[in-house]
Amino acid sequence: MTTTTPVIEADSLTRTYGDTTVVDHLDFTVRPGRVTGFLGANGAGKTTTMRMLLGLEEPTSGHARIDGLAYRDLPDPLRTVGALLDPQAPRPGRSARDHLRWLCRAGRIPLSRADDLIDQVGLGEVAARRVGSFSLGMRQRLGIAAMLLGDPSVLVLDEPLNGLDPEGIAWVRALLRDLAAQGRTVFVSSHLMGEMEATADHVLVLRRGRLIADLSAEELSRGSGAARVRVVSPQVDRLAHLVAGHAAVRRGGADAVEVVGLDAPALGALAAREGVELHELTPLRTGLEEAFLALNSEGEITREGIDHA
Amino acid sequence: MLDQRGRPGFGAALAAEWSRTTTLRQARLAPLVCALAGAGVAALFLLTAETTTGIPVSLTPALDVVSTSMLGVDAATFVVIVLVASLVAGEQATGLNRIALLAVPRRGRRLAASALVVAVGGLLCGLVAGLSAFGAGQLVSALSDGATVAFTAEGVTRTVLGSVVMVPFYGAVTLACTTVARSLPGGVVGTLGLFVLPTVLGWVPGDSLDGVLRYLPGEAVHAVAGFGAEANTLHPVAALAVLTAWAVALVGVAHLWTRRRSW
Repeated sequence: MTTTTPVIEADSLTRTYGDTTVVDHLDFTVRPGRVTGFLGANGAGKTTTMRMLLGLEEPTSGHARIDGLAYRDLPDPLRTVGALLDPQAPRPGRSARDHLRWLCRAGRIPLSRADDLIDQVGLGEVAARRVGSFSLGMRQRLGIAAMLLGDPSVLVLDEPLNGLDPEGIAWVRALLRDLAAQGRTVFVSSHLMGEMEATADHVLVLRRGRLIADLSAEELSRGSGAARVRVVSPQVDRLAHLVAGHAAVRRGGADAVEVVGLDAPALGALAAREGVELHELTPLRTGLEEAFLALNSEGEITREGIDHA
Repeated sequence: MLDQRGRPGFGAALAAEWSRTTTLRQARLAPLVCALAGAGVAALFLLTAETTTGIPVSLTPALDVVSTSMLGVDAATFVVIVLVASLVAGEQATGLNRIALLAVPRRGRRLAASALVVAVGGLLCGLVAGLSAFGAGQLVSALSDGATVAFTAEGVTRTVLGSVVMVPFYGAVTLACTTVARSLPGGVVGTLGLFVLPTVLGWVPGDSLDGVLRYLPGEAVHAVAGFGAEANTLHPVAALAVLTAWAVALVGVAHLWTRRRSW
């Protein structure tokens, strides 16, 4: 791995097809040492952005740079950037080993590296088999081996969790975290919010080609909506009456409610002041998926909260 | 950490293209298929010569047997055209083309490397097809009590090796056409269009196009192989230069056409 700290940068990156703007003046930076999730619904413009980043698509205006350079100007692309785009791309009639070896030749990488990585991704026993006989999960592993061939410091993955079984998802997740912990720049697109929640440190959220959030995953969850608290109390009706007007109350069982709009300290203080006995007071965490859905339907999120459009 | 072997340039792109092509079974089988096609078609045309031309093989001059045998190289050319078009179109359809562009992001460099691999592979296929067509022709002629001739006899070597040139040439043309058309039918039809162009232009009445015809690929191949009237054809070296110029120009046009294309 190189010792510099390359980053991915998009500068007013725009792509239009006729009258349709698919990517609309994106500005962002992806930093090393963390997993950056690139989130958005299908058709939000994630893949187009990644393709522009990798020189496969020409921006209508603006720039996408890696390590300060356009992808096609990188002097040693495979040793700088590893990309995982489409697991179906390798030719079905070629063996896994041969697929990696031609890539090694393109990057002047020792051929022994192909065998090392085939073993690392768990395909050692099927290295000589044709890729056409591989499952989707095996193809994803082969794609990851190809991505890592040049020991690159920047990794770009487009929907790497698609089609993987739970074991495969856990493996990819651990791998991405490990790669980021080694100081690499890891940029991962996904529409699977729940999975990215366990993986990404930072998120960029795209909606209809526009960047609507650029913040840590924790900030996104925290800032995505009103506080939610589960309360269990033998005086639950009285408590509901007290908070009415300040927060919404949803029944969650005989003695339980979910209070939306007041956080746990405020609710606890209110209960103490009014002499309401509490058996449980649990802040409910907003998941990334819920945060994303709220964001996607409501407006632009900032570190202070959702700025409703 | 990986050892540093220097920045990859055209040599690395060429090695990658060669490796990518030769690790496919279709490509590895291509010389064998071309040899069989060359021999089979050569034998077929000679065995049916009496029916189609009225002259039995036994009465056919030795050099005419050789030139008729070279129709087997035409057959090998069609094999290579379909193979190249299917490989190029297949890479574009599956997305492998994107992986190739990530490995060699300079599109012109990658296309030039592909063209060189196709040309070298085509030359190999052409050679085995030409030699097997020649051998099959001589065998049919000998079995029919016709004239036989040595490969080294005057005119024979030029006819065989000159005919072989069409295989790498049309392979490179197919690469260019399929890259532009992004489909197997588009690549094949585009190449065959150039293949039959001299014939179509030959239907134009009068001799106004004679000056143009000899600069078309079909006529240039004939000039290299020594077919046709010497007065109307180019010198073999000039004809080779014309073919090279056509191939370079068409691959260059394909590059200009696709250099800003989305993949």
